This record gives sequence, structure tokens and C-alpha cells, in this order.
Amino acid sequence: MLITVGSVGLLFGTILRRQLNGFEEYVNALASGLVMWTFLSAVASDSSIAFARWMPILRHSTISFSVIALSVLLRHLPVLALNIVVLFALQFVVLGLTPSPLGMLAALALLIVNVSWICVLSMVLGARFRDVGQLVTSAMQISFLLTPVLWPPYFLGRYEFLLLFNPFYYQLSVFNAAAAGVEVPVFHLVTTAGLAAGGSALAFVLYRWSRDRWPYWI
Amino acid sequence: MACVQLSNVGVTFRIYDAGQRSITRRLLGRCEAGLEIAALNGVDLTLEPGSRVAVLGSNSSGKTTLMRVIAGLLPPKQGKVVIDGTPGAVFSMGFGVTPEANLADLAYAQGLLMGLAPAEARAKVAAVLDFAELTDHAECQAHVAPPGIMSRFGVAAILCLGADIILLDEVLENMDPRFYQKIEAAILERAAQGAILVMIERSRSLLSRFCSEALLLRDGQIAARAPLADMLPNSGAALTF
Repeated sequence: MLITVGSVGLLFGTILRRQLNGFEEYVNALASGLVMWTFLSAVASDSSIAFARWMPILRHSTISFSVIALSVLLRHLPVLALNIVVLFALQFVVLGLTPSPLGMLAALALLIVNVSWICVLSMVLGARFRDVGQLVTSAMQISFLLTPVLWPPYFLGRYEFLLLFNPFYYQLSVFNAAAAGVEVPVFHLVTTAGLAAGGSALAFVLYRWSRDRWPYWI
Repeated sequence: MACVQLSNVGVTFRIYDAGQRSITRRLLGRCEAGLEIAALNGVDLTLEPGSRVAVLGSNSSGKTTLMRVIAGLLPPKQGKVVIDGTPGAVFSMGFGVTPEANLADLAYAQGLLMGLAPAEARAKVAAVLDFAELTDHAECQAHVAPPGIMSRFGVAAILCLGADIILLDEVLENMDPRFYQKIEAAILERAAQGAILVMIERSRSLLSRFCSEALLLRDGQIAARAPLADMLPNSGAALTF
């Protein structure tokens, strides 16, 4: 993560220097954005093959769906925790910034809920359809380019409103603001919470629907 | 006392080819529904405590599917299943393991999967390895263990970890015959306490040794149920051997 932020930050920071409002602000947003995105995309991709990985055991033992979902999350949560520690250390030492503890807790809780329902959707669809893994990987790559991780939102100028149609943008905005210790935009916070609630409901419905079906798919 | 009751149980598999496994093709409306195969059809079966049942039938008659339903691994599409007891299943396709885990860890994990508390599961690890005579192989990873070793390990795990619905699907033939006596003694002891054994094997001598009665499956339906000694000479049972 350090190498990625260092190399991408230097490269893009140098290329875009004239257009940027502030180099430090850019590197800070880039670092926190990459921390969040690494976790999100790794869980989404890993979930789509979770059933395939557990198949030898599922054919012999009864294992609840939540254990499989947790196994995916627990594989990536330590990496997220480590990256956050490195992020905070860098922000404090290099930029002199401190995160807002309450905002960071809320942002992390929302991130984990949002990633969890994406994990469930990806798991269920990945159990039924074998090409979901490739589609998720491609979708996450495209979303990464369309979400302001590598570039700041104000680069879109008068088209900045288009970001309102990008569901990942709200979570990114909440996470970046909390990590930088600035005020979290209320609209973005409410929308992220709404996405968490709606996505969780959708994941629950899909889980209930698939509960008696996935033993036939594996 | 274990008990298994199946009422009008039906299991239908939909067989998907590569195209039917593609969400892209599905969204584009370019795939047909998969082929449907009725693996079990209207199965009524009660296994009383102490039953030792051999399941006979030709290939694709529904034997393994029946085992998976009894193990609680496959919810039937129709009918009702009542399982009173702790199922423990070992299938010929390999005991359920993560290949990189070692046998001691797998014994512990299997204990947890069968509902034991962590401390209890940890305490049972030595008993499982001892029963399977694999104490010296405790650190051996599953992917380098031969099939016979994994069969011994799987059977030892379900016998030592308290399974009282014991399901063995073609696992005995690839282990050293000297283990049969040990397994037979353990199963008879469990059956006397009310456990149930359901076994699929291709060897008449093994079935005669372990089972007292037999079910004959034909096209996903129970064609006959009788004492094993009566069933074996029967022409229907010849489908199995």
C-alpha cells in the first residue's frame, strides 16, 4: 500500500500538479481512497469464488452461509486494519493530520456493512454463475476509474453532479473526510447509510431465496 | 437414540452446461433452462434407532443423493425430512477438507462442524488420530495424504466425534482391511446405543459384515427393503454388484 500510494501519488501528483488545489490534500485523499478501494474490491472478487473454495467441505458438512461470508471478510479485515494504521501514521507524520475518531468509526462501520452486502450478492451469484468472478473484477476496475480515487471530484468541473449517480462515491467521500479529520458531508453520510440499509435488505432477500438452492448449484 | 424419517422426498437436479452457468448469457436471454434429472422421487423411509442399512442400486439410482439428504446436506425439493441425531458423512469423493490443513487441525475443525465446543473439539483430536492410527501423521497435510489415509481419518472422525447417524459412501474399500474389525466394533457398539448406520459399498462381504438390512433403489425410488441376507440373492440386488 505504501509503495502504491508513494508511486501513484508522485506520478499523478506531478502530472496533475497544475490542476490540483493542493498536493498534500490530493495525496491524502489518494491514500485513504486506495485503502478503502483495496478492501472493497478484494472482498467483492474473493466472494464470487467463496463457494467454489468451500466446495469440498460443503459436500460433506453442513456449514452456515454466514460462516462462509465471515471467512471472506476475516481474510481481508486484518489487511484493512493494517492499511488504516499505516494511513494514520503517514497522515500524522507527513501531513500533520489526525482523523476524527467518531467519524472514522461511523465510516468504517458503514464500509463494513456495505462491503458485507456486496459480499453476499457476489457469493450467491458466484455460486450459480461461473462468470460472475470475471464480471465482478471487470466491474470493480471500471468503477475504480469512474470513482474519484485517482483524481479529485472537482476535476469534473460542471459535470461534477454526475458523481451523484456513482454509489461508490458516497462511501469514498465519507471515508476520505473521516480519515482526513474534516467534517463528513451529511448528504453523503445519509446516502451511504441508505445504501447500507437497502443493500443489506436486498442481500437478505437473496440469501433467503438462495438458501435451499445453493446446495444444488455447487 | 437417532431416528431418520423421510416422507415423500423428491430431489430434482438441474444440470447446467457452461452456457447455462453464464450470467451474461442469461441476461442476454441466450441460454435454455438446464436438463432436469429426478434423483429421488417420492421416497418414504424411516430408519429406527439401531438400524444398519445397506443401500443398493445401480449407478445413478439415487444412492448418494439419498445419503446427502439424510446427512442434511441437500434440502429436498419436495417432501419432509426429520433428522433426530447428529449425522456424520464420509463420501468416496473425499472427506471434506481444506487441502492445505493438517490432520490435527482437520480433526479439530470437524469437531466444531459437528457441534462440539472448542475445548471439547480440541480434546477429541488425539482420540480421532489414535483411532485412525495416524498420531504420527498429525502434521501431514490433507493434499499429500493418500485416499486410504483420508478414509481412515474420516471414519475415525465421525465415530469419535459423536455422530449417531453414520453415513459411509464407498469409503471402506480403499483402507487397510485390518481396520474393518475396529470400525465394526465401534459401529456395533454405537448401534446398540441407538445409532444408525447407512452404508453404500460394492462388496457383498463388507455389506454382510456391517449391515443387517438393505434398501434397493431404482430410478430414485425405493424398490425394496428387506433383511440383507434375503436381498443379496435377489435379482434386483444384482444391479449393485
